[in-house]
Amino acid sequence: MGRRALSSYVASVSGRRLIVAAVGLLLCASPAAAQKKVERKIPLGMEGALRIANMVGSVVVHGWNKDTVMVRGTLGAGDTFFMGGGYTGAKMFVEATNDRDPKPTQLEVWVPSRVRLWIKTATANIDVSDVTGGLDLYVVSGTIDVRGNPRELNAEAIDGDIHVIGSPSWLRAKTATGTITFQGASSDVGLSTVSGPIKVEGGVFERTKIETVTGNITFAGKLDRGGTFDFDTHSGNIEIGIPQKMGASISAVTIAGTITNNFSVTAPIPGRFGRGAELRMEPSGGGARVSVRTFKGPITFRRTK
Amino acid sequence: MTHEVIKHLLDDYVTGDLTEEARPPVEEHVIACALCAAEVESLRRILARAAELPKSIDPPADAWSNIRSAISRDEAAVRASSSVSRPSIWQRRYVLAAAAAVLVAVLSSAGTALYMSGHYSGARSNQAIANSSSAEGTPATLAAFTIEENNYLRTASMLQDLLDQQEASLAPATVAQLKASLRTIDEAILEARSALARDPANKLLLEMLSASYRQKVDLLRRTTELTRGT
Repeated sequence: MGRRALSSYVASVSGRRLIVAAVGLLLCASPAAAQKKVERKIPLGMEGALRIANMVGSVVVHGWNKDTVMVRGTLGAGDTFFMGGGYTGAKMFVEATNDRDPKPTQLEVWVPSRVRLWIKTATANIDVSDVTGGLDLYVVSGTIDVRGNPRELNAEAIDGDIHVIGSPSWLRAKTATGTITFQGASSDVGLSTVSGPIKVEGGVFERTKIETVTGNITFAGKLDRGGTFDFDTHSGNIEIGIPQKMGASISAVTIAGTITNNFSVTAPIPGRFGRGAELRMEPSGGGARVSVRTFKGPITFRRTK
Repeated sequence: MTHEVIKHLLDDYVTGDLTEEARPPVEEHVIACALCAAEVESLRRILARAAELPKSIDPPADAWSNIRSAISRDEAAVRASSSVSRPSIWQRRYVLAAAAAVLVAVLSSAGTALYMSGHYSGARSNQAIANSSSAEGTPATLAAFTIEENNYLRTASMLQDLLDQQEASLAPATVAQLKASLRTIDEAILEARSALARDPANKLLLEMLSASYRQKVDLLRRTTELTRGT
């Protein structure tokens, strides 16, 4: 290869590389151009109120020890982020360019830990951690995840899952087809689904009401001696795990379902209406009032440590 | 303020919670924008319908007198049965007939309401239940239950109407899930009702039926509330 030919070859290769590099850069740059970053801060009192609305994408919230709300987010092209309010209350939401087809917005928000927080989404997932104030969380089909010890937690979904890890003093969670899991302890719990399963486990519980229509219920926790526990389902399976030496007055009734007692030697008896089964037992001389009722779902009692 | 921003303020506008500064631009926009005007109209309709919902519902005028007389008859029957002289077959028949009448009224009114609601698939089965006259139980409890049942049915029907209007704003998959859930609850209601027809004295069944109705109303209410503004 002559010198001229070589330099021509090198030039052509370099040219191709440049084009490839330019196309690569454009490809990498296009998502960044389609999305928009936001970062804002506003002051909000430690016990202020904050409302967040984001239809699609995700909302991740962290409690922190500052009287400031800070948000970092990624918005869809053309979408606009709004945030405003005063020291006692603030609000943030996303304005989509196409309301019928909103693009996902990812919001990560830091809030004063004792804030009263209200979040509403459609399909966006909600993830809240370390907030000790009150939480009102609503999704249609997203997932709600809460970690920490909020004073009150109200979580509602239609077909989304709800997962709670921690010790909210007061907890209400409802979904229709989604799953509810609660790992922790609480003095007042109300959980409800239609067909979604509910699983509760952890520390000491006081007032507890769990109901489904066809969803399975699994409970394994310590019963406060003065507590009341109600488990109701139409046709779901109910499995109750109780520590061996726990005092309780237990009553289980089914219209057509079976009862299996792996907790004590007390045997269930046939139901008073000619079908189903009933079981009454008072381990350790009685204590927490436990009522388990199903139409046709099976009930199982078992010992836990 | 743009249309998208104002859209988020319509709730507060309708309920009168907007600040004095924010109200005029929203008002101007609502006059000019057909979409927002329709939304405001829809919100006002919802508020008006919600306001129409009674805070507490009084039972029908003759319900309590029927219950009282049924209880008195029950008490009389108990007293008579514990006394030396047994009540005549006519007295016992009268008590049973009253109980059966109350049960038939209870079940047929519930069946009618279910049929009228148009969202319940078990109307025919309910008619069969209504025709059953195997009641020997507690007419007072049943009568009280039927009042509660009618309230649930009325509320469920209103909420279902609202939801039908808002259905377009839900994803098809969510609508399918919702309908499946409502069907699941309706099936549970139907099953419990059939069992109640066989076992009218079973208080547990009444409570289970109540719980299923409560679940249905709650699911409809929750969906209606969540759908607004999504």
